[in-house]
Formats: sequence, C-alpha cells, structure tokens
Amino acid sequence: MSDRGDESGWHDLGPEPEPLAPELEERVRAAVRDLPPSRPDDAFRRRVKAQFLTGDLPRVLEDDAGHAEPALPASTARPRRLAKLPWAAALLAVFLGIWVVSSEPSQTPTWRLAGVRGGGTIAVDGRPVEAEGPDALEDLLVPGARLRVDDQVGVDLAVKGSVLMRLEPGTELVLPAADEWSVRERWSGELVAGEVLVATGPEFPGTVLTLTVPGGRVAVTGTAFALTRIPDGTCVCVLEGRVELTCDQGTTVPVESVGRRVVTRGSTVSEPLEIGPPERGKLEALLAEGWFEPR
Amino acid sequence: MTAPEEKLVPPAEASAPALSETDLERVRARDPQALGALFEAYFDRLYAWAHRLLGERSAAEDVTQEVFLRVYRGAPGLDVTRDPWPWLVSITVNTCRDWWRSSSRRLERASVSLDGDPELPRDLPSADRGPSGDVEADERARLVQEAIEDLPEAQRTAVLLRDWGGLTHEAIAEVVGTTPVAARKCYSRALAALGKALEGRIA
Repeated sequence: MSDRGDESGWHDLGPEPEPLAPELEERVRAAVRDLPPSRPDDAFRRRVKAQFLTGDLPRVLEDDAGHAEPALPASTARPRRLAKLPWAAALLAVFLGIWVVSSEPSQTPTWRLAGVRGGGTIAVDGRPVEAEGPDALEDLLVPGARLRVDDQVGVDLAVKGSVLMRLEPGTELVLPAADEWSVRERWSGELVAGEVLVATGPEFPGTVLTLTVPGGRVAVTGTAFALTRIPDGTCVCVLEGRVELTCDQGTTVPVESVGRRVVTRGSTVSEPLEIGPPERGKLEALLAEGWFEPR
Repeated sequence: MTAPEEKLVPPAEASAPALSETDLERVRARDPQALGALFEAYFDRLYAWAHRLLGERSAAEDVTQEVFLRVYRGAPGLDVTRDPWPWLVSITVNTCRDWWRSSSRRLERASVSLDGDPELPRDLPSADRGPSGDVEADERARLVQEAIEDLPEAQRTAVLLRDWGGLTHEAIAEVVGTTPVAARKCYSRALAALGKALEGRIA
C-alpha cells in the first residue's frame, strides 16, 4: 500500500499560502486567543459525573454501522431527545428490556499484541509508544482506541482464537469494540488510513466483525481478507470465505473468495475482480503463519 | 516525542489542580473518588475545548460525554508518570473528528429525507457562544467563531490548538498524530483563511 490518501486534511501537499501581513496576523491571532471559554450546563455536568463515577456512561455518538445508542432511561436522558420519542417508546423499551435480559450481550474483545515488525512509534489515542516497549502498548489496547503506526513499523493484534489483524506500516485504525446492545456478538472498528489484513480463527463463528472504511462498511463472519485504503475509497480483497460490502448509499454486495472489489466515496462499487497478487501474497503469508492452529 | 509542556488551557481557566501520581494510580483502578477528582480537574476545560471546536452546545455535550466514556474505558491503561492532559486533549480531538464524520453521515442521510431537521448542526444559535455582556466583544467573538467554523476540520483544530490552546506545532503534531511540518502547514493555511475572512471586520 503506497498511497494512503488523506481523509484527515492534515497532509495537504499543495503550496503554502502567502503569509499574512504581520499586523493582520497579530490581530487574527489575538482574536482567536481572546475567544471566551464556555461553561457546561450544570444539570448535564452533574449527570455525566454521576454516570462517569459508576461506569454507566452510555455512548452518544453513532457507532460504525450508523446506529445511535438506545435512548437513556427517563431519569437521565436529555430532554431534547426524550421529547421526540413517541408514546410507543414505552412499549419498545419493555421489549428491549426483555430482549437484553434474555440474551447474551456482546462480550468486549480483549485485544493483545501478537507481534511487532520493524521499529518506530505507535500512537494510541494520540499517545506515542515506542514499538520496542510492547508492554506499554498492550496496556493501551482498549476497544475503541485509535492506533496509528508509523511508516517503519507493522503490528499484529489478536483476540485469542478469534481474530488476527495485521496493521501494515502507516496504518490508522480504530480498534474494534463490542456493540454492547447487540444480541449477536458484534464488533465494530474503522480503517482510517493504510492497510489491514484480517484472518479469523476457530472461535470466531457466531461473531460479526464490521469495519467502516472510506466509501462503506465491510461485515465479516469468517474469512481472510485485506482492506486497503486508496485515494477516495477502499480496496476489499478476500482470499478465503466471503465478506459483505455495504457502500455509503446502502447497497450491499458480496466479495467472494479470491476476489476483490473497489468502493469509492460517492459509493460506486466495482464489478467483482480477481484478487491482486500483492494482497494475495500477503494474505497467504499471514495464513501460512498458522496463527490459529494448535501449538 | 516529548509531551507538550506548555499550557493547553482556554484563557479564562488557566489553573486546575494537578492530580498526583497516587491519584492517577487510583484513577487506573477506577476508584470513584479519584475519578471524581479527575472529572473536576478536567471536565470543564474539555467541554470548553469541544464547544470551541464544534461551535454547538449540544454537539459539545455529546462529545464531552463520549470523551469521558473513553476515559473510563481507557483508565486502566493510563500512564501515571505523565500529565494526563495531553492524553485527554487527544481523546477530545479524536472524538470531535468522529463527531464530524458521523455528522456528515447524518447530513448525507438528511439530504434525502430530513430537510429542515432542527437538530442538525447547521443551525447554530448565537446564544451558544456565551455572551459576555460586552456587545463589541461578543460581536467580535461571533465573527471569529463563524470564520473558524468555516475552516476545514484540520485547520480549525490546528488554529485553536495553536492560538487558543498555546501549543507548539510539535505538541499539536503529537496530539493529532501527525508531523510537526504538517501541523505547521495546516496552521498557516488556517491563519491565511482567517485573515481573508476577518480582514476589515475585526479591530
């Protein structure tokens, strides 16, 4: 993977703009410096603090599949959201309650460091860790953490018996976390930049792993595949098994064994193509390492 | 890389009690009292950051709540030998990026079926910007905030971290996970765009 694109906007390679006149620059900078800080609403602050101390804070941002966390109980939810609930919500809440207590929720995946190749820095939620210090890195591998490996280092991460993810140099990825409200074991993460190779193991069946990628989402139920960030999209390559690729506009197509498809923003999906030799070679090498075979 | 050493504090909130290494050990163990101390030390500042980056109170509340959820989840991995502030700012900036991304997904869907939804972030009431009672200062702050909100997210982040937070380009690079050169260029572009937008409009 050589072209990682730049979704973040931090790596614009165009020419630098003309500098401002010193007097104007100082006025602009002073105006930004003087912006007043704002204070949070007291009731909001109290609620968040109480839930933070007990570990009961619910997610409020949409997950990678585009679903928001279910509404909070009436005593803690924000009024602006509650006001929009129809009366039938009470019935739904009862149904959800039964659903949740009668089913096993998704278990949080425990990510472990399975290997480091090369040397350099790995940033976890912006905190740099030297690749030579694996213990420090492993402590930070919490689901939902954002990893960025620099251009000289690759990292293998695993959930024992279930999944191995190989982050190629220069990759940025949000570590899959459990969708705690899903009855089925469901983990969701995101590829932001670079390339990740994924292989699933014998304990994976029954689990759904979803990775959001530029241009869509890839849902996996058991396979070996590679996702490669390309300019304005993603190349999805499958060596074994099959994945479901859902583009941003909602269309879902399969990517079959020994095949690949390319999805771009604006959600054009290519016809099925044969997997490219580079990705095929990498995936075959990954499987040949026998990660999930008895040792 | 080294931790940013300069202040990263919105101007009017420059002093918060630092947590000791012992306190941070207890945060790692998710001791409620220590979590409370962490919350009191940083919540208001992180909220102010989110509000300034996003420009909308309800979005800032969503993001700040998500930040503290991530802090709770990440607490066992906290490095107690380091000031947690850069880590917290990184989480906040990353969460804002996630919010922008999920917001743009919402907007894409909204363009098909939800035109005019009042909760979408294009409707930004001026009261969100914290009137001070000084009409001239409020107007200036409004103009500056609007100009900042017109910037692409990376430039917005760069200019606020640099000038509102007082970070060096090296520290910004560490917080957002980029290189100092990229951080500096991004900041230069932000400053040029702000100069163009505000020239003749601010005294």
